[in-house]
Amino acid sequence: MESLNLISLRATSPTPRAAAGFSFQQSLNPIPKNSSISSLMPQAHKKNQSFLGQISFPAIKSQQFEVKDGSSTASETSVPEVDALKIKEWEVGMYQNEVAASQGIKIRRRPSSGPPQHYVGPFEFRLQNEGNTPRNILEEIVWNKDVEVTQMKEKKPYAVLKKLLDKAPPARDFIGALKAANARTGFPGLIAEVKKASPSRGVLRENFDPVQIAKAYEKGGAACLSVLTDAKYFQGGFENLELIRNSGVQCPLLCKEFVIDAWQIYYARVKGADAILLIAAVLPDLDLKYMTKICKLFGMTALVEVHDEREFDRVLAIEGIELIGINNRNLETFELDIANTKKLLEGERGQKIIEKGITVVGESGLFTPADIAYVQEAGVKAVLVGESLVKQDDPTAGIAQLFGKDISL
Amino acid sequence: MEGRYVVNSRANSSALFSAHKFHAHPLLPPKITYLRFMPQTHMLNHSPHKQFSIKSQMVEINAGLASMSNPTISNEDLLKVKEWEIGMLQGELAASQGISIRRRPPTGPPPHYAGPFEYHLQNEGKTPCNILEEIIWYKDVEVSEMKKRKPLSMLKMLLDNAPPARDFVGALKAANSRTGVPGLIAEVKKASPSRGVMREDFDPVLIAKAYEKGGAPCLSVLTDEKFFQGSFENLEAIRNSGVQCPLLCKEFIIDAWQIYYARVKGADAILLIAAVLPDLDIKYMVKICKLLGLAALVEVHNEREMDRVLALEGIELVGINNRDLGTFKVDISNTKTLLEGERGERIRERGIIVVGESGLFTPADIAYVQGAGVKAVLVGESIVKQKDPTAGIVGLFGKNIAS
Repeated sequence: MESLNLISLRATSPTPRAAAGFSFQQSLNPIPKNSSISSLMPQAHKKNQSFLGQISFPAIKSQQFEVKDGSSTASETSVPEVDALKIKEWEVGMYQNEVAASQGIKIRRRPSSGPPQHYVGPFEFRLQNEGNTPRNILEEIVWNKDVEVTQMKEKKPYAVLKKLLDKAPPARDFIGALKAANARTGFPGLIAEVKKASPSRGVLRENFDPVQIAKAYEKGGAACLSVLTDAKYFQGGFENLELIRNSGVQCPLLCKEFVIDAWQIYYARVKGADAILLIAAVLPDLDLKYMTKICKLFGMTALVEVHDEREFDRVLAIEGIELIGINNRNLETFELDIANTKKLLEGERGQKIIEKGITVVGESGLFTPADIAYVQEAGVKAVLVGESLVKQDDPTAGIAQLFGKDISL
Repeated sequence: MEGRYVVNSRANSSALFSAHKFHAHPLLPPKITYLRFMPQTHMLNHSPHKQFSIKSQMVEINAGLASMSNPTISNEDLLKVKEWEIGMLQGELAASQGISIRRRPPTGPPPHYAGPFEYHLQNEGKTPCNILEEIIWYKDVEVSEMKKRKPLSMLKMLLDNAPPARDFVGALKAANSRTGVPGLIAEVKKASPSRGVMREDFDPVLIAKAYEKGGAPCLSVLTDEKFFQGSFENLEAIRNSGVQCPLLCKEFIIDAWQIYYARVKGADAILLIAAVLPDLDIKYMVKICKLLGLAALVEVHNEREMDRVLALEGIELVGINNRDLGTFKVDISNTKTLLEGERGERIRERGIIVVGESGLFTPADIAYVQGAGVKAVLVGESIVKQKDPTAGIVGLFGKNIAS
C-alpha cells in the first residue's frame, strides 16, 4: 500500500483576491480584480486565501501524495501562535456554519474559504471554492452585512457604544403599545413601516421623507413604526431612525435590520430603537437565545421572524420569546402567500402560542381589510405593513383604507 | 428592588481590535448562571408608551474593570477563548443531532470570552451522565496526552512501516457467501463495564488463533485499557502472530489521530460510534479511513442514529448495537426494528453491510438477525468466555463454519 502523508489541503494563490461585492446577478461572471474588501475581512480570511477564488480544487483522490520526510507536513508543535489563532478563528466560523446547517438554516454567514495552512480536522477536505457566491438575495445581504458590521465595530467599538448608551432615549414598550392598540381598536396593532425600497419590489416611494411619513403614520393611528436601517439594499439608514426618534413621534420604533452580531443591538439602542428584528432563517437558536437576552437587558423587544414550520418550531422551543413575526414572503424566492400565516398558526402551534402568551405579527402581503381580517382570524394580534402604506400619497389615509376604518386615537 | 447586573468589563481599544481582529466584548453583562435582570420599571407594562431607562439600574462593575485599563489580551488567552468556543460549538452541533454524550466536562467561559455561550448554565452536571460519557471523558484526556507523546507527524512517518491493510469488508462478504451464515467478527475482549471480567486467563494471541481456527473471517480487538482491560499491544501481538484475519480496532474514537495510530498498530478497520460522533466527524473520519485503506464500522443503536448515518455518503459498514450504551439493556429485536421498511430498502439499495452486535448467544439468535438482514455479526461474550473458543463458534452457529 502506498504510504500517504496528508497535508492540509488548500488552494493557494500568490495574491489574495476579493470581490468588491457579491452581486448575485454576477455570480457566473469572473470576479473583478479590484478588491476593496480584502482589507476589511477578518484575519482568518486573508492571506493565501482566494476569497472568492476561481481556483478549482482537485478531487480528493488526486490530493493524495507522498511526502516521505515529513518535514513539510503540519507539525503540531511548531505552528506559530498567530497562525494558530487564525486557524481557530476560521474553525469557529466553520462550526458556526455547521450548527446553523444542522438547524436547517440554509443561509451561510459569510463566504467559506478553504482551510488555512496547518489546519487539521474535520474541515480539511472542504473545497476551496465551495462557498463563493451567494445563493440568494438574503444570503447576499447577510454577507454584505457581515463585512459592514465588521467595519462598523472597528469604528465604534463597544467601549464607545457603552458611553453612548447612557445618553440614549429610554426604551419604549413596543409590545405594550401593540397590545394596547389591539385592545383599543379591535384590530391587530399596526407596525407601520418607513421603507423607501426593497430588493423584491424596487423603489416604493420616490419622495421619501422619513419623519414626514412617520408623523403621518402616527396620526393615522399606528401603534408602532418599523424603520429600515439597511442602506445598501433598502435605501434606509440609522439616520432615519434617529431623526424619527428625535422628531417628537411617540410610537415605539422597530429597527428593521439584518442582525448578525450582538453589536448591532447595542448600536440600535444607541440610535433610539425600542425593538429589533431577529430572523430565524439567518440566526441559529444559540444566537436567537443570546440576542433575545441582550434585548431584554436593554428593555428592547425582540421581534423574531419566521417563515415556515421548521423555523416556527425552533423559535417556539426557545424560552423568553414574546413576539413572533410570520413573514408571508419567502426570502429566497420572494413568493408571497398570506395563507402561510394561517397554516403556521393552526393546530398545536396555535395552541402553544396561546399558552405562552406570545404575540404574533403578520408580515407581508397585507393590502386590504380582507387581508387584515384573514390574518386576524388566523390569530395574529399585530401586523407589520410597509408597501401598501408607504406608497400612498397620504399614508394617514392609507391606514384607514387598510383597516377599512379610521383607527386613529 | 432595583434590577442589577454585573458588568464584567474587559479591555477593548481600537488598537487592540485591529491588531487581533478579535471582536472583544468589553462590557457585556455577566457570563454567569443567573442573569436576573428584572428592573422594576420594565416589568408589568400595560400602558402604551412605557419608559424604561438604563440609568435606573444599579450597575456593579467588578474588579474586571481594572482590566479595562490594560488593553492587551495575549495571543495565548485569545487562543484559549477560541478553543473553548470551538468546544462549545461542537457541543451545540452534537446536541442538535440528538447526541446526548458530551465530549468533556462542561467548564465556564475563559476570561475575555464574549458571545452566545456567556449565559450557559454553569451548574450543568459535572459528572458523567452514564458510563459511555465517562469513557469518552477519560478517552479525551488520554488521547490529548498520547498526541503530545506521539504527534501526528510522527505517526505519518510510521505509516510506511505498518503492515498493509487487509480487506475487512471483503473478508466478511466472502465468509457470508461461503458459509451461508453472517460473517463472524470474533471479539478478543477480556472485560467490559457492563459484564465485568469475562475471561480470567486472557491470552489474546491464543484466543485469536482459536477464533481463526474456528472459521472467524475477522477479529475485533479491544484496545481500551481502563474500562475493557484491552490494549494496543494486544492488537500488535495478534497482527504479528501470523493470524491472517483482518482486525477491527475496537476503540472509542473521538479524534482522527486515533485512526492513524490504529493503522500504525496494524488495524484493518476501526469503530465509529454514532452516539458519540456528530455527522461532521463521522464524515471526516470515514474519509481518513478510506485514505488509509481502513474499513469504518459505524455503530448505531436507534432510529435517529441510523437515519443520520444513512444520510451520509461513503458508508459501507453499519453495526447495529442491540445494547443500549446508556442503560446496558440488550434487546436483539432492535436489529429487526432498525432494518424494517424503508431503512432496510435503502441499505439493500446501497449495498451496505450490516453487522449485528450484542446479545448473540445461540443459533436462534444468529438466525433471527440474519432474517432481519444482517450479513455479519460481531460476537464477544458468548465465545470469549468459552474454554475452547473454537468450539464456541460451532456452538454459536450450530455448525462448523471453518473452511
